[in-house]
Order: sequence, then structure tokens, then C-alpha cells
Amino acid sequence: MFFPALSGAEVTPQADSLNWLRKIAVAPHQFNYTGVFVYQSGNRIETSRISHMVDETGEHEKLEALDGSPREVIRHNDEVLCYFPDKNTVVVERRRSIKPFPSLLPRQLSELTENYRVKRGGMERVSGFDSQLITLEPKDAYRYTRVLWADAATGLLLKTHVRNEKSEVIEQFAFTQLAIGGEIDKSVFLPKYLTAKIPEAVPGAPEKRGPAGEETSGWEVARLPAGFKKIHELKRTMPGKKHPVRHLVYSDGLASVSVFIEPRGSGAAEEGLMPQGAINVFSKTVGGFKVIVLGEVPPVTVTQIAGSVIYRGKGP
Amino acid sequence: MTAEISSAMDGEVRHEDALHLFAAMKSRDEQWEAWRTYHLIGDCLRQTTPLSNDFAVKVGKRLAQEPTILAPMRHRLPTVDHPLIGLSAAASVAIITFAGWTAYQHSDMQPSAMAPVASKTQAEKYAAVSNKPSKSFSPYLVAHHETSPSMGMQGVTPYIRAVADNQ
Repeated sequence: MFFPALSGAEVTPQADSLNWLRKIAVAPHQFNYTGVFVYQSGNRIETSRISHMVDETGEHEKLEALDGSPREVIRHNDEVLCYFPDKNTVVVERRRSIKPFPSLLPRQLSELTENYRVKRGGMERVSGFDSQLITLEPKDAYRYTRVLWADAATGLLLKTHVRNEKSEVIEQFAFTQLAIGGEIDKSVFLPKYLTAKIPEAVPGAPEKRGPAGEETSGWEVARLPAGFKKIHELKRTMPGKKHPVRHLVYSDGLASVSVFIEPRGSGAAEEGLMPQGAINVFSKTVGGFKVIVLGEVPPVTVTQIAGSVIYRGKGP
Repeated sequence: MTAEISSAMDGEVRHEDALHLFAAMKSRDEQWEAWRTYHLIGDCLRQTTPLSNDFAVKVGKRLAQEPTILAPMRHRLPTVDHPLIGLSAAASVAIITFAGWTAYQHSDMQPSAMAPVASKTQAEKYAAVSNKPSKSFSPYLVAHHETSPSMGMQGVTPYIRAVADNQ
């Protein structure tokens, strides 16, 4: 017997997977949680503690490195502070350009399905939680496969893999311990390393910004890999740089690539492809400018972008 | 002999020679003592917090208690920030107790260097093939993640890439 269009069958597998992605996107902003996760990139492994809390003033989040030199990232809503006590440095960032994640989603999801096949897999147990497996397979070689394990109840991500074309895991996050819900003491979100000695605050904040198209400098990527679109262009100050740096951002709805353009310094610049785990960096000189292309994409993507950065304007 | 020990510490001895050297050191107390003293001097110069006197013994005992894990190893191009540390460590891990010893010396050591089967020639090959040692792109990575609509683990977790220890 065959029953077409039963009420339950109105949800297509694709729509069902996309619903899961929506749930995953919203979850980390909705719940209180504390946990320890392992981050692996290439052959490097680090353990970090994360705490997240929502209260009447908004979202508070803290990421603390448990291995190696002490480092902390603290976020209060859109303000992100990175503490590097060894270097006595604080990097301040503002995510103000980014709307709250859910509002980005509809556009992002349609772009996602143009470039990736979203598949819902089975249920698996991760860190003691029942999790839903979701796979995002790229439709071409310009991006990596993402595998997500989301807590079945809340949608919080418990584990993620970035896999290359050989299905090798090149980057992964995995919670080894996680507690969802409950109250978290606000003192948790105070910086541990900010002592009486005030470290030098490095403004990493952009100088000006506008939506893509509003502020254009004349720098362009002539041969942009399929599926990527320019989502931002801005001029920003960078720690230790005298001149503002031009920053162009391209995205395929999931992966993103940044292009940084700055006047070439006097020192010998490193050139070529420099992999950093799942992040690939390509640095080169174009005219009197240093161009750095980086993103969580395969080498071919950053190489093609870096190879076709051209200037069609009057000045950076 | 002590000069050879010193060279071995600096990773300047060929892998095969290092194996002989370590075997010889194990049989002679004064050379074993020299190895330990050189490391102590190195620690003092680097101002590393000294380890307790019986540290090696403790590590040895702990290692003896640990189960042996037999698993196939995958060979990957490591992104070695300090290939020299990797090389010198790879040469000295031939004797398993040294692995714990050197790991604590170089808190920033790459996990690959702790792999007991990593030979120096392999390490050299990796160093030659892998691209230049990665310079710190941290400020660029932080800026990248600020504007990245990544679907990974949201919030601050993408920043782990930027602040990951590149010392």
C-alpha cells in the first residue's frame, strides 16, 4: 500500500534537517551551560572550559584555556575581550555588525542549501547525552564537510567535525563534560587574569563599517570561488599596526573567508600557503600591499582568492 | 661522552646515535646524572619551575600503571610552530620515560613529539614538507571570527582558533 502526502510526510527530509539547524543555531544563546571541551586542530589538542549564562542584561560567556599559556575570552553580549596575560595584552572586539544569530538564518539557510547537502543522520550518544547527527556535505571542492552532533533535547552542539575531502577530521570540538541549565554565579564571568596591573588594551575594533557595497575601496576578488559572496567590507585598526587594515569578508552561508589588505611593511613578509589546522592562510604581496587571505576552507579556496585579488580603485 | 649528551639535548645527534647514547646512559649512573644536571641547568636558564627531585621516578611509576594503548597511528603533516623543539624531543623519546620528562620541560611541546615512534628522519621530512612555521596570525583570526557567521560552535568558541596556543 502506498499513501502519498500523509500529514506527517509534509515535512520533507531537507526541511526537517533545516529545522534542526535552526534549533542548533538558537540553542547556544538560550541556555545556561558550563562544560569542558576538547579542541583539536591538526595534531594540536587543547582543553578549554566554557560557561554561558543568559540574564536580564543579556548573554555572558567565558572561554578559558586549561592547557598551555593562560588565555581567556570573555563575551558580554556583543563585546568580546581576549586576555593574553603572558603578553599582558587584551584584545577588544565588538560583534556589533552581526545581528543576533537567528535573524541571520533565513538568508544563511538558503545559501547553505545551495552549497551543501544537509542530511539528518541517526541518534548517537555523546558525553552522556542523546544526540542528533547532522551532516553538511559540500557540493564542490571549495569547502569542507561539517558533521554536527546536537543534544536531542536542547539542540546544543556536543561535538563537531570539520572533515576534508579524504574524510579526515582536521578540526573538532567535543564536550567531555557538560551541564545544561541551572544558575551560574556571575563572578564566573569576571576575568581571572585582569589584576591590579592594567594591561595594555589593544583596540582591535573596526574604524568604520557599513553593509557590503556601501563602503568599497576598489579591492576586489576577480575569481571568487563558486557560492561565495561578499558579506562585509570595512577598514579596521589592528594591534601593532600603524595603518588601518582593509578587511573584506566572503561567505558561502557556513564557511567564511577574510581578505586583509595593508601597506607592506619594511620587513620580509612570509608568503604562500600556511595551514593552521582547519584554517588555511595564504599571504602574498600585491603591488605595495600585503594581502592575507584566511578562512576555514580548503587550500584551493584561499589560494584562488589570494591569486585573484586586484585593485580597481583609487586608494585603500 | 658528556659533550654527546649535551648535543643530544640540543637535538644535534642523529636518531640512531641518540639511541645508542641513551642506552649507554642508562647503564652508567654518572652519565645519567649529567643528563639530569644539564636539563636542570636548562630549566634554570629558562626560569622554568623546577620539578620535584623524584619526578622521573613518579612519572615512571605512573607510566607503568597505565594501560598500553594499541591503536593505528595516522601520519599527518603537523603544523609545527617550533620544529626544533619537535626534532629534539622526537630524538629523545626513544626511551619511554624520557617522554614524560621532556613533555614537562617543554610545556608548549606538540603532541606529535610525544609519539614514541616518531623518528628524527620523519620529523625532518615533516619539517621540510610542511610550510614555514606558522607565524602568529592571532589578530587576523580574531578579526576574522568577529565577522564570521560560522555555524560551528557559536558564541566565543570560534575564538579558540584565534587564541589557541601558538607560543
